[in-house]
Amino acid sequence: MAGYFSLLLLFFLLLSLNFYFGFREWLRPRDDAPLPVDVEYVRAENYFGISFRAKMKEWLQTARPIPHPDSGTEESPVRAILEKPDGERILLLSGGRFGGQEEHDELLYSDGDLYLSARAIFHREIYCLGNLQTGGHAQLQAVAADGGIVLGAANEVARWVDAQKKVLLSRGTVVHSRVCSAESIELQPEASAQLLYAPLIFTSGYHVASDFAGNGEEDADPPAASEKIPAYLDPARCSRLAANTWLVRGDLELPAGSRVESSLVVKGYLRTGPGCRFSEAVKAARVKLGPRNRVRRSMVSGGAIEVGESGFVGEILSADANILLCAGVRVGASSALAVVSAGGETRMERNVAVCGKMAAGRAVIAV
Amino acid sequence: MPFRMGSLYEGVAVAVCADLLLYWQLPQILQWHTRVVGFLLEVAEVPWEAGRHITLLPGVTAELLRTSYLDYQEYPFYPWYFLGVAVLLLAGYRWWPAPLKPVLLFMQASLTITFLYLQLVSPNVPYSPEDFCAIWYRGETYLWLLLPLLFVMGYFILSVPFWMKLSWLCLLVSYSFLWSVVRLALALATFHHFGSLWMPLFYFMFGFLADFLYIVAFYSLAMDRAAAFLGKQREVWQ
Amino acid sequence: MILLVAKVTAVAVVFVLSVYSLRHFFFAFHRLFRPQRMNYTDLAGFHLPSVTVLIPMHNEEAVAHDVLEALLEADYPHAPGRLEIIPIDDHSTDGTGEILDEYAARYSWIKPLHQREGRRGKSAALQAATRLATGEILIVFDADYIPGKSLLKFLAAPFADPEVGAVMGRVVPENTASSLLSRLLDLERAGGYQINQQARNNLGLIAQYGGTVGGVRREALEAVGGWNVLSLTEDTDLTLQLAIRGWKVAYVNRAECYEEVPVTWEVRRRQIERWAIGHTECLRRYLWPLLRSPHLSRKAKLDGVLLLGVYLTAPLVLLGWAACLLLFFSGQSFLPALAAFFLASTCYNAVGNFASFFEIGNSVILDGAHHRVRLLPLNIANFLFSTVTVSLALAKYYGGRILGLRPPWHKTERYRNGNGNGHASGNGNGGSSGNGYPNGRGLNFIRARSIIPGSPAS
Repeated sequence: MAGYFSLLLLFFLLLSLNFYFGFREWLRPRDDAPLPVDVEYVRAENYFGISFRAKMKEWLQTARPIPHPDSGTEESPVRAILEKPDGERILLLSGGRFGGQEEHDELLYSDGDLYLSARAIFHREIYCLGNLQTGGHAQLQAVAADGGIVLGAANEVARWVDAQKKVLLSRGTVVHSRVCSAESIELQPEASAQLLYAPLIFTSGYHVASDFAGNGEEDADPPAASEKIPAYLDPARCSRLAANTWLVRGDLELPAGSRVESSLVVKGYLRTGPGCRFSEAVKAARVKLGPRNRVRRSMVSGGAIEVGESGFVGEILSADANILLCAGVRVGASSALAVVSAGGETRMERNVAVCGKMAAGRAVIAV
Repeated sequence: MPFRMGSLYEGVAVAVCADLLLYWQLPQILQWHTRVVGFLLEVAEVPWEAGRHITLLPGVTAELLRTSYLDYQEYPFYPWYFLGVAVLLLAGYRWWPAPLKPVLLFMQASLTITFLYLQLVSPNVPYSPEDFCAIWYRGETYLWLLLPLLFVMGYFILSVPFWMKLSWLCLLVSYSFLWSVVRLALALATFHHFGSLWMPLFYFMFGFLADFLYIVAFYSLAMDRAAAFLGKQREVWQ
Repeated sequence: MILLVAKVTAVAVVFVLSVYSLRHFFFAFHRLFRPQRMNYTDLAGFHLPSVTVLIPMHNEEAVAHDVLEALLEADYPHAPGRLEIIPIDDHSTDGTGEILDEYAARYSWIKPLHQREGRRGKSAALQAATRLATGEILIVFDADYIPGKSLLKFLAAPFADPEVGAVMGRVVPENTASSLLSRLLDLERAGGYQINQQARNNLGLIAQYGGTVGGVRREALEAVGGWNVLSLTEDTDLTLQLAIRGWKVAYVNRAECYEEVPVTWEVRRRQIERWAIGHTECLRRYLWPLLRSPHLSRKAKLDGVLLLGVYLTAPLVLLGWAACLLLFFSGQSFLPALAAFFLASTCYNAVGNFASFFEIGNSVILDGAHHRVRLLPLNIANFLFSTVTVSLALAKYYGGRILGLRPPWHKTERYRNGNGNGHASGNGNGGSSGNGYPNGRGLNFIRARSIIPGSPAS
């Protein structure tokens, strides 16, 4: 029987091998901490800018100066070079023109207005205490400025842009992550970013003086929803989802000047004529709003949304696919920031203004 | 991204190649399997002889092993003895750790049902050891052919180096052969020394269930190593 | 004849379970490779409806402080009419009521409800509190949950969509290190939320409202007749009622919140028992209305049926084994005619069972975790335990129905006997509560652990 028990031993050995690593992790845990949930987390749209500024201040205190031959000369704006404990370098600039057509691996810190030359390439982040401007075709990693930022034509920013004042994205500039400003962001044609956040985001053709907020009409309380089926709904295809919400099976085409007082859920394609008004939230599988439509609250779609010329959305515009904002569209108001969120692309025509945030799965593009 | 759709297609191609290779080599693998089981049976002091040939798949035949059962008519106390142990274990049921209780219950159920069958229906289970061997070969052969496909679906979708994926696949398949050999040899040896009472236990618990167990165990280890690799690849700011 | 029944049963069981497995695989692949519907996350902070937070509490003095303190720090506007909190003292016999009154005296927008008479249980408590609530949106937390500062904003955001009737966030076990069971449940939860719920949300299927870390639109709740006080699983009940009537349940993966999971197998057994019975009652009540609903697509109906029948898979597995056993003893197992069955059962054991483990493995990668995935083989114990427990629970339930008995409601035990604020309670043990769960791991403990260097919060 000794042979049999040897075989039995081998069997149990191989069987226990299946459990061995599991048991080891159970009895001598190496990864038993809960998954990290930051209970202190408060969403800040300009998180990267805030975080980077804090980091830079910390680095300026801990980095040690190293000798620099050009320091203080008129040709170079570099007044000192610091080296962080990890060997990375920070160039301290006193403002002026910097860059040239070469690649830079250092972090930049400027205490004055800074102009970065055309076609310069910066692999690390830049922090400018004044205004920052770049020439055409520059490539940047990330930029923070306590003044405004003007990115020249066809710039490419790998990560983010954050400014305390105005930001201008010139024609063809691409920001692969987010752009934030405490004042406004202007997009020239073909400029794009994945996310934009500012009290005012607008495309060329919009004049800041003609602020659309506070015209009073959108803020007025809508009349109470009626118990009866509204005239614009087909009784055979609609039902009441809740006391103040109508559900329409199939497509819905609203004639010009319609007024929708209740929340509306359309399972199909929603098309509207000019001058329609929605007092409550609207959802449809696909939406095409005619010119001068006004949506007081939110407009949501499982597909695409097209907001016709001179339309207005008060709170939220959200689509799983693409959004098109035609010329003259306004979203949100300076007193109540709004959000435009698309799973695909958001395209903005001329003279479009959004107060708040614009996010897109692919990109927000000015056309 | 830790997952890549392209890697799945790559994996399916690998699985198809692995299956073709396996299919081509199956007669040799099964021959080796029979030879090693025979060797282990000799170690376990179990006399055996070559049995009949069965066709598992077109062009794939396996030679079975013929062994014997312990004859319960000659040793009638054996089933009672095992039943007694099973009852004792059941008596201590409440002190067993909760997650192990179902396993214990299944063991009890298997032994008790077989015992009742042997006492009330027939003095022997309906299969000879050779039949058991045939059932085993059939099940394992199908599983071996499924293994590459299953593993590539679970693991090849990750963005880890190809050599890493291939190594785990080879390791899994090799372990599968080895583990099958040991289980079959032990099953036949147990039937020889302790009788057919243990057959359902080997068929159900140490058959398909044990197969499932090592697949999960290998998958967990492979995922652990992949997670470590992907963790190192991640950017600091992520 | 018996053999034929056994063969048909075995093959049918394999078929049904394979359908569930394919569903798991499909969800996992969809979650990993298809675009994620996460737009609602972008809306957080921009849609701020009036919210009432409901917290049912039955003898929760050990944890009441933490959840209220956490909500006091929520970054949701604390303006009148925008946020109110209604903690419900549901027939508590400990100091819960006094704790709630203490908070109510300090904050006008905390309005405790003391339930001393009438029906006990979570759904009855929620029903009573809903009558008092003034918010458009009702957000529910269990007392042992610790919501983060931004959680209310994440949960409120999807209600900008007028079709959304309820929203579910992600629960993350906090007491993972307490026992093997809590670690296994941590894996199970990760797979369930990170893969399963997110995939259902992406596919427009019925994401499940889980009864806590979630919210419901008051208008939708009223439209379906309120909380079902007769249900043991009021969350599943509500999910189905909403879906049948055309509302959507949204899942927000980013709305994460810590919870306590059972530490002992006995507590787990009672929890599973309640879920299994409640779920099966929902199956009885809603299967037909679900199939007839004009608001659901065919794929949503199919998923709904599979969701409703999920607890029946446990007795099905046992039935399948019984059929196999019968076939085995009748000498059928080696017949070539049954080769297809062997192939099917091999497939099921290898591919089918594997599907849920596959979900867990991928969720570990998505969550950036590491060694915990090694515990997967031990999860087979959890699987066997659940199979037997659910089967016994359903046997008890159907037996009870024959005898006309109502299943009792069991409150899940809490382990956090003392919290970080020094409000020791419970059994008052020193360093440990005696069940392996250390004291003092309340809000402050989590807060201290969660601060990430370089973040604005730090």
